[in-house]
Amino acid sequence: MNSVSVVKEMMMGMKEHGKLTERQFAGIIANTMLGAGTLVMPRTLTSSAGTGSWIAILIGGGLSLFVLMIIIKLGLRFPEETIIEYGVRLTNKWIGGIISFLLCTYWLMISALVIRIFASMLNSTILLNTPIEVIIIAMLLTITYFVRGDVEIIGRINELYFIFVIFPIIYAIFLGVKEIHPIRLLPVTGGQGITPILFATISSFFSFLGYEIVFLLIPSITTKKLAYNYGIKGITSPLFAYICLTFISVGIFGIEELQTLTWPTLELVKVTPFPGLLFERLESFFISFWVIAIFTTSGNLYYSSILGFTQLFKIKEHKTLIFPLLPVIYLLAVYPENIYKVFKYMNLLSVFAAILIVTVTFFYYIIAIIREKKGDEDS
Amino acid sequence: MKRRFSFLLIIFLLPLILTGCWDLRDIDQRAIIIAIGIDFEKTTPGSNFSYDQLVKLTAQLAIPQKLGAGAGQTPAMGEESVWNVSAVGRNLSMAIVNLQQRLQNEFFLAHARVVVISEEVAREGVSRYINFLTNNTEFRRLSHIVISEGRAEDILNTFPKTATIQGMFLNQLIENEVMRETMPDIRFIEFTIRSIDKGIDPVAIMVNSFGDVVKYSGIAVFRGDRLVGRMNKEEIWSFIQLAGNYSGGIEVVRDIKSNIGRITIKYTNIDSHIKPMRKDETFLFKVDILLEGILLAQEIDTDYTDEALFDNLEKRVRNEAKKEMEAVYYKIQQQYDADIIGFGERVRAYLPAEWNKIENWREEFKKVEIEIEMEVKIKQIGMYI
Repeated sequence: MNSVSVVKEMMMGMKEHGKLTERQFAGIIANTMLGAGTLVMPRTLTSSAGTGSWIAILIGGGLSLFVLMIIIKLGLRFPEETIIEYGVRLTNKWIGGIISFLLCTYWLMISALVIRIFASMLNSTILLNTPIEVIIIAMLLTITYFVRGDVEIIGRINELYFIFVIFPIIYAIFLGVKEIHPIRLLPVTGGQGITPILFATISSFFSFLGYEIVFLLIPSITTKKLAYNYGIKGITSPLFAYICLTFISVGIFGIEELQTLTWPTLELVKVTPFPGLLFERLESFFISFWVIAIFTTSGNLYYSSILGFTQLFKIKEHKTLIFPLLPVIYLLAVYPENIYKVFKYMNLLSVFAAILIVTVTFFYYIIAIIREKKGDEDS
Repeated sequence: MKRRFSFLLIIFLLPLILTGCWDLRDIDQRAIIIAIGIDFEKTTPGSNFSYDQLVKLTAQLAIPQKLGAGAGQTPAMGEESVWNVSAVGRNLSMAIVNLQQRLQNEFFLAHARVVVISEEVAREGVSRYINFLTNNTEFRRLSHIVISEGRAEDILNTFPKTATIQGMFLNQLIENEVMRETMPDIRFIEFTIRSIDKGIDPVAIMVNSFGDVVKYSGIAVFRGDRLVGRMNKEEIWSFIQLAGNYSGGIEVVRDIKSNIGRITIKYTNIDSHIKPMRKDETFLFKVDILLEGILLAQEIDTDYTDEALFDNLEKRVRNEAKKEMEAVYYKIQQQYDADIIGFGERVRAYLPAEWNKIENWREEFKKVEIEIEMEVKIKQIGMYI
């Protein structure tokens, strides 16, 4: 094979429709994880383990990383298929179908709830008089436009927007560092033994959900060998962001005050003065960036849900499902009556999702090994 | 034709959808509040109120038209530039609703710099009165909370000669004192954190007013969210040294050689460590403090180039500072029973196992002991030897 044909083949590969580069793959994982979680994370995570939460986040993050690795490993056994397709091959039409249906429904619901949480936050902080429905509709319409593209577009958008998602979080961390009271971070182990930390580990595992859309992405990656590598890269930036945010919030507010704040991360930005009084009320600036974080999270999840349903019901094009599912996602988003209900549903849904994802991953993986099933090699 | 028609239809329909912000409110349509005062107001017997005590809210509004002076004009000062308007209600929210009825623009809290609460209100517990503010999205938690000795509205109605905007004057007064390390830096957020925290009790700045002077007169000591006592200027200095954050103010001691002359030391730097340990049934706190100071003034001409004499001076300053510190400690422990230094916080941080056994830190705090180890170093003597 001469070099010209190699180059030609590479060009072909690049031009091929619907392919994700590895960086885009990492970007999708990171952006999907960094969403509504960042807004409420410091409060929910510290409620049981107190100052020892950082250990819980580390363990929870490690577990998530482990599950992600299994997901990628499973995906690489069937390099040309998504979970919807190999699920049916591994079990049968009914079991695989039901599992896929549950997964897609979960993605749809979480996508709606993420929008709802953000809309609630906007409604209680800066857009006080705007009806929450208007905020939700505005975000939904943008997302509709976003998911019309195929996986290539999703990848590019995520790669491009990653910097806008991570930048405000890192900036908030750096602004907050000097306001920390070190004594509020002690004792580093939480001081209440191992049980609360284990409880917090479970709840932190819930908060990291979002990486499971990798189930659908494996067939689209160009260089499959690098999936592990970039999977790790994708999951570490949200992990790092979550640990730092929790750390700083505890250092500034202390555990007891943190439990009373509805939007701890926003409060964090509010109480960190910008040096030299150059800007005041920085939170509006941060909120405008958070729109992007929520947009990518919810958009990616909505896209996954649509893609899953398309493959499940063997529909030709995923665009067909966008408009039929739009009223569903809207109704799901406006369903909770108040913010307490939103948080309650969010907790229930993440418990359900964590159980679902862990069981499905290991169930399929074990079956794949036992029945020695393998997909077609990457051509 | 059809295309053109639908295009026109869209153009005509656009104004229906694009209404702009229906809740648009420009900056000149807002009543900008600079400071808030909270008082109690007794109802007159026979009036139709069913409560004997009402909350009186005094809001200080900036008058923007008076503030921006053109070239050659003198800007409005003091009383001219702000308007204090008050209203009563059975709680703060009610008072705000009543206040709103007296304003032509909507109440805008985002620029409130100072919240003044009268001593009388603070003695009843402040959380129920400030909850409206902590819950409000506009209100900034970096504002200052101030307790007034008399009525809060009197503080807001006092106009010092240099105050362009009275509320800003209070704000700057506090920030300046904090910068000089003579006042603890307790902002609104810090106050609420400490009033919730079980290991530390809050303090707040206290002010009083007479004539056209507003004066920083001490700090209010709280137990939980209730005011239980106060400390004066010199006690505050010892308190912030003991709590270990600021170096405090000055110390006046007698001259080593003569009883008539006095020597003034100004503390410039502090390094303090508090270590909790278990001792029998209670806790012992080992306080280790290194204070650095400069010699500010010397009333008679003693020659301190003599090393022994200088050591003696340092020792005298140390004894004086330590004595005052212990007095302050016993006052907060025995008299006020409020852990404003944060000993509980330290037990929680360094002895978590012991902290978990404690059911009520307040009971425990009455028994704890301290041991102050102190050193004073005078680093500078000024221009005149």
